[in-house]
Amino acid sequence: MKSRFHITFVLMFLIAFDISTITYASPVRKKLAVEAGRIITIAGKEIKNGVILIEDGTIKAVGTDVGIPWDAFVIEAKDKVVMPGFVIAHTSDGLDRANENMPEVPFISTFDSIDPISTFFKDSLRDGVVAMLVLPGNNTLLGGTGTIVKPYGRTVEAMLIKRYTGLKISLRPSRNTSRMGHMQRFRRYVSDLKDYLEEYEQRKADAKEEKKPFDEEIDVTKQSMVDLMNKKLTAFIYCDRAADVPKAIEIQKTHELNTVLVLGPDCYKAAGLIAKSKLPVILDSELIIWETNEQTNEEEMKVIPMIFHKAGVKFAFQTDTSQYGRRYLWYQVATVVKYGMKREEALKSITLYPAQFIGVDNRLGSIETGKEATLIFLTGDPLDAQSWVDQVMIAGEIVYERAKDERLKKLLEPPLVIQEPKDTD
Amino acid sequence: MRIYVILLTFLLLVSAFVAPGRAEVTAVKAGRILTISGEPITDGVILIEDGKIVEIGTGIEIPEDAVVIDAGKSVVMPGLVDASAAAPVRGDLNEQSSEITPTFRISDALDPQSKALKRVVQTGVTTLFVSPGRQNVIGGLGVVVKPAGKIPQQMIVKDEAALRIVMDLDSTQGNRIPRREPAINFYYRRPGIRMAIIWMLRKSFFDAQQQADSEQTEDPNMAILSATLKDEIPIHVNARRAIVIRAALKVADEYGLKLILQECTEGYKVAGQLAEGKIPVVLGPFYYYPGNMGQYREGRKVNWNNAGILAEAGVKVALSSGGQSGAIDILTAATFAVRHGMDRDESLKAITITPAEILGVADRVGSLEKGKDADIVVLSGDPLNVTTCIEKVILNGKTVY
Amino acid sequence: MNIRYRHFSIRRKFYTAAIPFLAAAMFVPTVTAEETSVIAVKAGTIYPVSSAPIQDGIVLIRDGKIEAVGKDIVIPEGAEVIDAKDKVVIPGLIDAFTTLAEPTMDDEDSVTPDIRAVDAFNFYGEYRRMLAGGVTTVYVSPGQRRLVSGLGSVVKLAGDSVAKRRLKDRSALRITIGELPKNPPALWNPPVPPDPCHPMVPQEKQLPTTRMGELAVLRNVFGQAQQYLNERPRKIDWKMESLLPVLTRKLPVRINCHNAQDIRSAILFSEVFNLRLIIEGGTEAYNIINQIKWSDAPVVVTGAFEPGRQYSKDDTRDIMLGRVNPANAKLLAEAGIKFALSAPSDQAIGDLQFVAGYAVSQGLSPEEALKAITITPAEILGITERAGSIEKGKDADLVILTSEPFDVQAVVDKTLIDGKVVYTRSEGEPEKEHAEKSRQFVQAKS
Repeated sequence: MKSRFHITFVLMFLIAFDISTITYASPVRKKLAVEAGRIITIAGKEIKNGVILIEDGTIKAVGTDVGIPWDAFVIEAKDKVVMPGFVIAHTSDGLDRANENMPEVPFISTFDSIDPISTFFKDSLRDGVVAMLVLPGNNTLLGGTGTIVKPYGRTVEAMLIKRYTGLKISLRPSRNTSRMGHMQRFRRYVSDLKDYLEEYEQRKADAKEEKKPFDEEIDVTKQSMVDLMNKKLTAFIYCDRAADVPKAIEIQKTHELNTVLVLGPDCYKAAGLIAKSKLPVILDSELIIWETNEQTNEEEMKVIPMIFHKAGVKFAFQTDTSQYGRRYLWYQVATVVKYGMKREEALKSITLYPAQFIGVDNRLGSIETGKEATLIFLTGDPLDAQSWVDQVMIAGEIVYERAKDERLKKLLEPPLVIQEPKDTD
Repeated sequence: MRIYVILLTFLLLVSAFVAPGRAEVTAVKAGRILTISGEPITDGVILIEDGKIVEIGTGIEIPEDAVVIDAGKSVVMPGLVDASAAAPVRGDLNEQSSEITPTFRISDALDPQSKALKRVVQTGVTTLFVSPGRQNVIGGLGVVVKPAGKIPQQMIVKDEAALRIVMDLDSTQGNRIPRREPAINFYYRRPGIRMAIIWMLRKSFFDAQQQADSEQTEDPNMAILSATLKDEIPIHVNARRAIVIRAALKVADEYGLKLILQECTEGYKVAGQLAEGKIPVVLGPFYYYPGNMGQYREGRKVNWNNAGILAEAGVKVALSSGGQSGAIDILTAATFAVRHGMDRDESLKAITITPAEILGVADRVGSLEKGKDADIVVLSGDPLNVTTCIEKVILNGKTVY
Repeated sequence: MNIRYRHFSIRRKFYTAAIPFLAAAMFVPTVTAEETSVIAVKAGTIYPVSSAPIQDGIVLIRDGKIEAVGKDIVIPEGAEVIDAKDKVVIPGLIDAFTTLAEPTMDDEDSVTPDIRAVDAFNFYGEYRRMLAGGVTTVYVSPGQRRLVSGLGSVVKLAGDSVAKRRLKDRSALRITIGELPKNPPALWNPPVPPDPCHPMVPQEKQLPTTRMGELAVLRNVFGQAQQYLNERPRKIDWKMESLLPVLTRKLPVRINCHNAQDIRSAILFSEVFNLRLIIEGGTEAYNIINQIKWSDAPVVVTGAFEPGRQYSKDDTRDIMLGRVNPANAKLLAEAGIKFALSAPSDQAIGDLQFVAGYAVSQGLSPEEALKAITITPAEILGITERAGSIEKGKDADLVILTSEPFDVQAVVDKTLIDGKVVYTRSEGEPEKEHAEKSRQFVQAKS
């Protein structure tokens, strides 16, 4: 009797233990080694038949003669090309609506609007994007603050990489004003803000003098602009057309802000001015525009990134999810390589540079020791239209596998029933 | 001595007459020639005389006075054929006074100076099919043109090439009768629902048949329609959704018409039927998700591999830009079709010889063969690579880009 | 040691040491020649406007500024010479009123004195048509359909850099009296975000909808500005700040008015607040010449002539923008009132010479007409240190014409801004070429 009780107890304990180990058996392995046919590091030269050692989600070593520890889980990718995941430095997709209806709303945040189920995120992951800065749209003067997320996760918290990053300023005039009025509204807002801060500091100083406690906080609706002025946030200034660029530069210089310029297609005309300002730039998704030469009446094709490249401007690409080829970052790079830019430099515009612009280049953007193991495995060269993203790894965990992508299968394979029953007359 | 002088002057005179009459020969040398009609040729030569290809192959002797275009290691392919292109016309494409306008010819509105033409040449397209707008049920007669020449007549390859019928809901645009307004304005007579569109089609063909049978005085509208009934003029039907495609097939069955389908976004659903009926398909612009499919949100399901599935089922598939200028370049369309599953060779055919056959101009364009027009595109690499650029475009033997 | 050798060695050292200096010396003159660029324009006739016309003269330009104008000027070596021996040189034309910055959109607010037109001007736009007409500098106006729409700016239509092209960000305050500023939209300024203590508010209607409303608002605003000037409160009010230079007469105010009554109201209003008035529009100025003379206000005449426009001689109807009298300019000139001529619309800016020429046909003297599109607008706009005439020290903005200005056949051959050629008449006269081609084509077909 007693032994049976003991045995059942031990058995129950063992079963419970096994169940717990099974449920807690995490898919994130401590040590990983990726054996890849081609590694595009972005930071240096390409490596053929190399190995990437990953420990705790961080890259420990990259090279051809890297020893693989005995307890590392080996991922064989000898027929694949491995490169850092793509980074999008500015997007307004993934939100329910990109713009509020009032022009001055710097206190709102895209964190509250991101929809994890949006197809934008699923598509981005499928296309190899591992981080994006989601900012408000181009139709509000002070649009709000942005959030850096990865397109993987059920909740916004799970997707979060960095909150409260970047404040969007748009120079496109709102519906109720002209372009000059719009600019003046910005100046008035900043002037009122400075007045408010002066008064606040004055009250603080007064309280200190009178030795009274001072627990008044800065108005929550103004906090983000104050942080912008104190360089705690980066300004992302959208320039609708070339004539807006000098104004953006004026804003940056007057208030000494950390700035990234987000450009419309017309802004290539101000490439020289932008080059002088040395500000980083995010290009519009439209890379090629046609213009009629006023004098000869000929149609001229302008390749916008080449104009900036020749002027010496550092830029990152954007995508347009509603368009054919432009929805893919690799397509944007292929387009500019077609017109003369060097591969290595062009690939940086979808990996390292956007990561730098949004301040995550300590973790993402290239395959280097110390950076996060966030990689994509491609079936071929990234610029080849026939290459697909086979797997995506974020911080050492495989989060996407094309073989298991049900949605993709539905989109590519013929429906089950092709033979229709004949229509009877 | 004098005889020699006389002979010499005679020869000179003769040569003076003969020399201008002798056509200029151009030779194109390339690393790789994709003829489309046959196997690719490595390090070949194409001889062009008078705008036509006279010889093509390896080891061809180039005449001494020929103009040689040495394309080095580049790839050469036939000029692309766009079977549903943006119209290089002046003014609006849609006739508002009636929804059945079979006699309207787009060739009367061509504009050789159009910007669309200048741009299209730079994307490698040398032959286009232009048709009237989509807002009429029977829009009119389309025309096959080349972006060459200073007057419309010089552009035309085949006039009255096909009748355009649109079975989608485009013709119902703006037909909602506002409340409290009497429905006497003639705009409101246009069809409002799909049933009405199909009824109008049936009526038109029925009338045409009646007329042909009873030999009444010729109504020009009916004349065109009878020509289509007799298979003299092919019919292009725009249909996006599967149900519309099936409706089109039914009407075709009833009247014994030979159809060519345009757009067919949901064509993959009826691939079997299309293959059986031997109906060629000209695919329009590619949509990733239904939300982008035109103004009417027609069609809920998209399959990215539409072209591939149709081709595999045995349907003749052509890829086109769908009448939208600027946005879609058919070489890119072919590249993406291959990405999503179409066979490489099939996709190259789908932008050259297949549309040429569908349009009935395959005797002149679509492949690099002896006797065909010298429409050649020189590329810096594999045509289905996004990083390849178009180096030269030769149209009717002349370098135009 | 041989003494001879020692000397030689010292000399050799000296010479080797001297070589780099000699080499540098060789380069120096070329370096200085490149740093300053000198251009000389040899012209058949020069109209400096500020002085008498010069026959067979030379304009010397150094680094984009005019260094000398006259007959016996020595052209330095290495200068680029522009030969205009059989042509006429006039200063770059100035259009004293355009709406190039923002032709259509206005701010919703009726009174926005701090908005600056330069913020909307497209420096990267195509202004070839205007440069082809000889116009180099323009005044860009802030919004048209509001009472106090902002500050107008003066910009050049071409140039090396945006900074160089901004002649004056704040040239004058624009006020509009008449039909245009009526019926502004209702304002909606809810608290953002609203909360129980600050709930949503309904739309506020705005004045003015009548002339009396316009003047009442103006008096009110300027009255407040006067108070602001006296008190100078700590908190900066941008709108009030922008009105201060106007009250202290540092900045002029341009009142856009066309009817005689509106011009009268404008004059009286500026008297009350002691403002420096410029009358903009002035279509019916010929009706109240005396009062304008009394006020000492210059007039920027717009809408003097619009090719193809019919003028109604109907006295019975009220015409919104005033009854036009083609002899307006002549009458102003006779009365000794300072005036500038301006093109009637943005599309017609390139035809500024034609507009002035038309005034000549109505009786204005050619000298007066030329002044009215060069030095007088420069004075009115406050840019005389840089533009308006061909004088030493001013920017080298020149127009080279094929014959006398106001000659109907005169065509602009070249336009220079800051000494650089920004427009050249195309080689071979393309208009004639095209005409020839068409003729051949038509003949070939027939």
